[in-house]
Amino acid sequence: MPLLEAHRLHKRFGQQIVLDDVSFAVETGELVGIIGPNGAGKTTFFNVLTGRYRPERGEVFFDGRDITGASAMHIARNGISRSFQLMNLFDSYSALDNVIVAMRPLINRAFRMTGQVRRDSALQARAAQLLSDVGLAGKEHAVAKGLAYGDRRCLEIAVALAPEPRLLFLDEPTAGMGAQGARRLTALIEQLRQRTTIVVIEHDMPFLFRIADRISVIQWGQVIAQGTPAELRADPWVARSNLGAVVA
Amino acid sequence: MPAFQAAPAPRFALGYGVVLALFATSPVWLGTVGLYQYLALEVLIWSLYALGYNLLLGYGGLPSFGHGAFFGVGAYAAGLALKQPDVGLVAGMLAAIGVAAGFGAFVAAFISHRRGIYYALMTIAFGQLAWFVSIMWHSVTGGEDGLLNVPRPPLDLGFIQVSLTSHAALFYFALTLFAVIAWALWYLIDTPFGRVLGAVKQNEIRAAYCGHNVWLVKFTVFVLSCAIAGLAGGLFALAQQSAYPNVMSLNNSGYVVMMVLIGGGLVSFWGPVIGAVFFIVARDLLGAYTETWLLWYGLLFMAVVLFKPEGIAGMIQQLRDRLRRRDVIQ
Repeated sequence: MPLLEAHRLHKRFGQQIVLDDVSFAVETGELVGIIGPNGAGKTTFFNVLTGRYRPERGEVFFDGRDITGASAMHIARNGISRSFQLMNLFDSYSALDNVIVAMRPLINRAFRMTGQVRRDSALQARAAQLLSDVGLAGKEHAVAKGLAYGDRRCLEIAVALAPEPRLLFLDEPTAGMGAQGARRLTALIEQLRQRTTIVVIEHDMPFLFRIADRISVIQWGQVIAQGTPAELRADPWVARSNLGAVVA
Repeated sequence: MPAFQAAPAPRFALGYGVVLALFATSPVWLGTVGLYQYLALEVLIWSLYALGYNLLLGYGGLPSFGHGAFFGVGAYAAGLALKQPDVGLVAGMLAAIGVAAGFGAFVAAFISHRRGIYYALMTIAFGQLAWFVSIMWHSVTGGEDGLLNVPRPPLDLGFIQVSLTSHAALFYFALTLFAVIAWALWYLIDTPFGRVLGAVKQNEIRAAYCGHNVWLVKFTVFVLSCAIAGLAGGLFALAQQSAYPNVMSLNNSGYVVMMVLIGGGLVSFWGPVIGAVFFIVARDLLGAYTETWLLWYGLLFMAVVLFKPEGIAGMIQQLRDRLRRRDVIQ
């Protein structure tokens, strides 16, 4: 049974159809890539899967449970986490506090009014470890909005990882990064696949073809091709589209 | 890998000590600076109210512009309870807290899915509703005259009864409550709930995607803030020995916002207390010269919001930082 299965999702905004019968599945342990041009519906697809929008038709199953149209909170509590294309952090908290508020102990006991977080050294140490995993060691106490762009990108991923998700969605993690920053994130994502199942949207196609087990190509709100990188290279549709040049 | 250093604990004890010491000694020195004991009692009550309000506005980022309703409901609840035979001081204060929190929960159920201007507008609407009811429900609230002759029962500690009939005695009773609640609020900010509240303030959407119940966090903090406003209102009913509709008016709801913002509640825990002192003393001093003191105070408020949104506490912090930097350079 796939970990996540989306069946014939349909979503429109007014007259515009953004997702047209999109089906999609992720197996536990996979790293799946989603590519497609701007406006193809990739981010909308993520938003439907993670509870931001409700699809008009279709179903989403996570671990056999129907999560279609569930709220972001419920989906997150089921074990799905995500990062955002435009960064979305707790800007006036330190890097460490950004991670701490997203960790399981704070989610499960968000209404506890006893026990000081500052004195919980085990929790602090785990958060610091997570920051060090994404390459932010030594920057624990820097305020999020003061971090450099690349560091913010990494913190965005650390916050998404903090609830120990079983499935992690990354929305264009390398957006706006230079070559060096992109390499740093590639290395990070390669590492993360040991910990959890990942679905990543990317513009940077060589990057995706290098790391993904399988890739879905979304265009005009539809999945026009999917398969392993090798299969896609051989696909006549992909070869004929503007992706072909990059893939070949 | 270098060992991770925990962040230095923010300092609380110093400010706490200074505030309590100044309040506690006020009966001694208030007279010599030309003020009077009742003023300190009023400052204390407003400080308590403003600290509770700042939990909502400063720490939760939720603008309630009708908070006077909960202060007023607390005053009426305490007044009505204490006018019954055999209702003691503690029961009266518990009634103030309980009824204000209950009304707060009712209002919070309608507004907690909102934020920003819509949140503010809905709190104004509920505030006006409470004010209107307090005037119209004559048989219970006494209408425009309000509740008069609210008794001040003695504080029963089991082994001894302390009379609160003097302003000084009531002042120390209020100071004790203030000391407990100020400490509890400070403590709360660093608990899991306090941290999650800060996260919801900064980014509701991200908090929801982490799995937090944003609605319930906003609901809870509103009820807590209303409970404290209710207690302050109960103390006010004791201080004035009455409860009247004016405390629920839009003006009165505005005062607490002005106190918190001028004092600097957005940048400092003690900002609301500074603001309450500043407001009440300004009212007395400016009020002695001119009937239109609120005009001048309002202009001052506009100046602060425009040029110094961090308020008085922010100015103090800036001054301190500047002095420190000078020390480093020399």
